Amino acid sequence: MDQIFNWIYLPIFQDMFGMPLSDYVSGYSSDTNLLIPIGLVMIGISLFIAVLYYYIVNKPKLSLWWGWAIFLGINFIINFLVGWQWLHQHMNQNWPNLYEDSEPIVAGVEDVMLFGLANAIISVITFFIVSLLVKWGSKNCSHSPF
Amino acid sequence: MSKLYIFGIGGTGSRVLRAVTMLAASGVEFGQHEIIPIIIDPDKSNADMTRTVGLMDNYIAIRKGLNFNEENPNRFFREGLVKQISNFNIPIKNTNNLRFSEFINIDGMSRENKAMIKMLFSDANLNSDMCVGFKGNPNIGSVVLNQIVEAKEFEQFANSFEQGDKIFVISSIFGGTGASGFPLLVKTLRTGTNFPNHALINKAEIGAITILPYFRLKTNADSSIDSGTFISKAKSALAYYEKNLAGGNQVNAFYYLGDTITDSYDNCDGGINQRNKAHLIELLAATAVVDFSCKDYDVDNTVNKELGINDIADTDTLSFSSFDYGLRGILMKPMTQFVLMSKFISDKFDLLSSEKVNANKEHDFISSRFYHTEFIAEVRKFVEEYIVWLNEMAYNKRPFRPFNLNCGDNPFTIVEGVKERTGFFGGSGSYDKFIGGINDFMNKLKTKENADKFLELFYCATEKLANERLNIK
Repeated sequence: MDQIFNWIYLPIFQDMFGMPLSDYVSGYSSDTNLLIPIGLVMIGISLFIAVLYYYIVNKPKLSLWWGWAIFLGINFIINFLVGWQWLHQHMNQNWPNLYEDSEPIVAGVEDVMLFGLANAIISVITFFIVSLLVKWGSKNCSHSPF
Repeated sequence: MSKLYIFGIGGTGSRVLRAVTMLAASGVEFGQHEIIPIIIDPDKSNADMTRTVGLMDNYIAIRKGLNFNEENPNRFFREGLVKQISNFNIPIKNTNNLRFSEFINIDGMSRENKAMIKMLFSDANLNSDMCVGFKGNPNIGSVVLNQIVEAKEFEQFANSFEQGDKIFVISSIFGGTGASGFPLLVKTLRTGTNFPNHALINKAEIGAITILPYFRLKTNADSSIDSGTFISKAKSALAYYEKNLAGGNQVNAFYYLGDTITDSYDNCDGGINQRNKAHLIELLAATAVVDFSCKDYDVDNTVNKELGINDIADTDTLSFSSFDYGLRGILMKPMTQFVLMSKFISDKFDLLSSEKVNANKEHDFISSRFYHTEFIAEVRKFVEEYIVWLNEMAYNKRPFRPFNLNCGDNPFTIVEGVKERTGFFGGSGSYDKFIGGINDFMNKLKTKENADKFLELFYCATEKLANERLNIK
């Protein structure tokens, strides 16, 4: 599981939020691998939003590509907030003076936000894959986004 | 494959055939496999007739694009309507630009015969131009229509007649063409021997509907038709029918329809101006055709049939609830299904043909340009006519308004007197829900061709939605 989530998050995005934070969230320089719970929640949210779009809302009005894009956008925003806030809370608990230090030990506030952004970008890909898997049974949206 | 030949005589005959076509399109079940309409009307430009012919051509064009087999559940346009003779019409020869006196060649008659003719026909009768029919004069029609049996179109009908086929005759009793043509036609069918298959035709099951006065005509000095004579003419004709048609077992199922509440139509002798609004009576007459085609009648007897509606005030507007259970059972479900489809196609065609309807993508209706085909053009034309027909009945007298055609964006409020079932969460209907109903069936279709799929989708969806949201089964 560790390797899977490390593979999802790190190779492409570690340059985005920096090596120290990368080592921290993957458990290399800390006790816990944060990528596993954040990644699982990201997949869960993407799955929920996809099911919501294809089976619960399931409106002909939203069956065009932009209807799907709206839900993709919602998924992006939620996962950005979850990734960012999850890590932000975690850092605040473990490093109370993190943002006040002139030279942060692990990461700055921007790095944490960038992690949230990386989580959101990964959720876009996840949502796309989940959409392909679940769309077939939808009455009104099975041909969305294509 | 048994056939039902429907003879529509005169303007009323054409208008009832219009209603028959509408019912056939809606999916009302007829007992025969094929319906063969035959119009007898000397007035070739009669707008009632040309409109009906156009509608039946439209029906046939749609049906040509469809394939019906046991698996296909669709009942829209399922009834076979066959154009056996040109323009559905048996032409009446020598009536164009000819006065009646010229037709019977009064100048060539002996003095005694001339005197006899003068007793039977007024000067107005003798000078009457026959190109627009008999203008309410059955005494003229009874002479002129004798020749229909000589027409090659009549021979075509006789040639195609087979064991098990049935004949139904539609006429009015108060006009000229129908009142005179009906007894003549029945006499020809029962006793004629100078046409093919006459033995079969003489013994065939014959049904007929005679329509008693159900409208009046405005007074018009230029018109030779006076609706004040409708009742007296109807009485005389009924006495004749009683003795010679019903009494003589010439007609096996004899239907009578009429109404005391009447509207006044514009008075014209015929031609392109004779374009009467559709009337409830014509719809009910069409149900007589359905009744006759679905039942077997003893060829040695006559059953006389009338139709009643529930006790209502003269000023009331009728709807399905005005009918008894049996009639409601015949009409309500198919007409509701068809009007739902018609309204969607007519009011929301852009939505229907858009990608918002998932079934369009599932079956490539958009990429194959199905919505631009001749078939769809014909369907659109037909459903527009259907709505016009319903509107005409709704604003005639007595008004028959089973549908609220101004239902706006909620198609499930379309049936008058039927409250929409909104379900547990109370959401009201919309075209989105209609599309949902269509999409429900997109993966369950039994047919292969686009035209079949399109109508099967609509038939199945409207059947389900009528059941679920309107409790119409």
